[in-house]
Amino acid sequence: MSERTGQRGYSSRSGFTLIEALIASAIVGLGLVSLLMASKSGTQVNAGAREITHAINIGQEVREWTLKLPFADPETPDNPPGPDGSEDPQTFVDDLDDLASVTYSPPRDGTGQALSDMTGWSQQITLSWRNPDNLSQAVADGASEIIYVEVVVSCGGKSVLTTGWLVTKRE
Amino acid sequence: MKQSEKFNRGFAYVLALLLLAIFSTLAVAFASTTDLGLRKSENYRRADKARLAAEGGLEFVVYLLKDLETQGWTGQPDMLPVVYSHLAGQLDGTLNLSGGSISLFEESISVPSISVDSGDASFSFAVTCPDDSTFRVIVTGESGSCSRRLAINYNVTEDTSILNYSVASRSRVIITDAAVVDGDICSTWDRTYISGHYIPPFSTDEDTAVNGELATVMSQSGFDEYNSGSFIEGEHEGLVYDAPNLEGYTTEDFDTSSYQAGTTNITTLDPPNHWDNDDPFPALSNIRRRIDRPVYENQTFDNVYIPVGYNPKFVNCTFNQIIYIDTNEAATLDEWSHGYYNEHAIPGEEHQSNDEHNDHSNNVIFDDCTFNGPVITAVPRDYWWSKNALTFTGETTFTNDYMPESTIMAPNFGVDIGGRGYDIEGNPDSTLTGIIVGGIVDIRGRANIEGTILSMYYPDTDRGSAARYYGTNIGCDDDGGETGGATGFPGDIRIVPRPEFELPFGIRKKYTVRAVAGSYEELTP
Repeated sequence: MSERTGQRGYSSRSGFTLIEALIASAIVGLGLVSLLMASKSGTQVNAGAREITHAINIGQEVREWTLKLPFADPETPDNPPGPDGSEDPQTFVDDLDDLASVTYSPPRDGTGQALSDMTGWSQQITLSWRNPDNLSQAVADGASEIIYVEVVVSCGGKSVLTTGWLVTKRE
Repeated sequence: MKQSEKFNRGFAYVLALLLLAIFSTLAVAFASTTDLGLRKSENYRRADKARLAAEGGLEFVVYLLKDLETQGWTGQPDMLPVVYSHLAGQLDGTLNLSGGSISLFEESISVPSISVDSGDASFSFAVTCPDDSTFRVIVTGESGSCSRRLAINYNVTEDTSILNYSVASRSRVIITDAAVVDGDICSTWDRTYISGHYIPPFSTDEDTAVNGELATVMSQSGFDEYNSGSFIEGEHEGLVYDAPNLEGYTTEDFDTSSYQAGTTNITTLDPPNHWDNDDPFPALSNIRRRIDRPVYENQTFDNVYIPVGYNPKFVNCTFNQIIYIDTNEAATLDEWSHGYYNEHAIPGEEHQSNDEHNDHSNNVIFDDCTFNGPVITAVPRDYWWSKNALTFTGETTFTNDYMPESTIMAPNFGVDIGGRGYDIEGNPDSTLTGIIVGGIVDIRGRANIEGTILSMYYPDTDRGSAARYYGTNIGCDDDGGETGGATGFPGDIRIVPRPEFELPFGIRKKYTVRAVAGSYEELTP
């Protein structure tokens, strides 16, 4: 009897109780869930950061492009700002003001060529002519020799970056 | 046994807590890495925005400086005050500076922050002058806590492009006989038809060799309208239409007064050998003016000053260093042409009907003279061919080692070398160097020119139909006197431009301000 009792007593004291196991599992489970959530959140945030980095580079492509374009059409410098005649900025751009209001998807590189491996991304370009005495103030299109180029880079229709810079007439 | 049980029970908790600690550490590490990536990306964005603000700011500075007034200086300009004045004129009081102003302090111009857009980007810039011919623009772009600095240098260089021409003339250019001209010729003459006469910008004959282009300000249609090309018979390398007009080099662009310093008034030296008015001016013309002249023979002058109204004639004289010829710089064309100045130079002499009264100008003749330095004149406000004139006749020798940038600087003077019907022997060993400036420069007979001939006078409509007689003559005239000169003299002239020369002091030079390629650099923020 005493032996049986002793055996049963030993057996009951040699392992975890159900409660103990449940508590331990809950703690470990909690930790695992937290870790997974942190991992998921981290992945999402990293993706966002990567998007911003991509967006900066895509915006920079427009910057490079605008550096190479003449301020106004060399053949028809007196034409009003914007694409000349039937010119479509999706297919033909030969001066800066052709980019007055245009969206490229897929985005364009520094030479104006489409970046075919960047589907889902877009560059929305807007030009505003600025008052030389107050660069924050927009004036009528073509009314000054200073243009502020604004580029909104989007991914999947969601705006990722808004950037911009001044371009002046040099010639 | 009791201790073992206790250990077993505690082990599960410890293990669980340990795992929890590990998971927590991992979670913190994840969060930290994620945050770092996000911050890095955000910093990259801000840095990019700051850099774009700086680049845009640099564009704006280039835009502000493109109209920098670079004319009107004699000698190398002190750039910093000039740039300061220019920038202050464009920025002070504007909303760019919110009504503030720029400052010049201790060799540096500071321009406060200018907002680029309604967002968080702005730029400021500073200008310094590392040396006399350079200024440096440093632009700082800012976005949030990020900043980027860019710098670019500007060079201030003397515009000596006129020295690329062999002849630069506001009147038409007539080159005849065996004249050889190396280099381009420019004429801004654009009145091709006057009172029934075709007056093309260029006239050359079949013996003329121009080893360069003929540049006209006229359009091709305007040039062809009166068949101007038919007046060009000799060799040349083609015509250039719509050439830029000659900028500068007008009366206001000359100030030769400083050359007077150190000269000696000729009237304080040995008296002239005699006075006469036997030499009509010009020798061959329907209008032969008599001018009372002191005549100096076989004398040597060092740094000599010829006062206004003296009208001397020098025969076989030598001039060392500078000969400065003064004139009335204020007299108007109208006053001259109406004989406003009427005093006789020779005491006791009576006026004759064809006497010329040159009391307020200087009509000088050099015959068989040697020049070991430049001939420099004051600057009359207008050109009048018989009033202010330099005539070099006989075996004239120029050896100008003293100031090779210009052998003759006589703005608005008539400059005749070997012309006007006088002896045109010239000296084959003689060489005029640098820019040869005159109202109308007329060179006939023998002459070597290593430099540029500049005829600055434009015969405007106020000369009426007589405007057609004014032209830059090179060589010998064989057009029957149409150009107002001699006929039938053989020419032996060679002109070689020397673009490597500098322009002489006294010409208000045009300075070109250009960004230096390759000087663009990103500085540490």
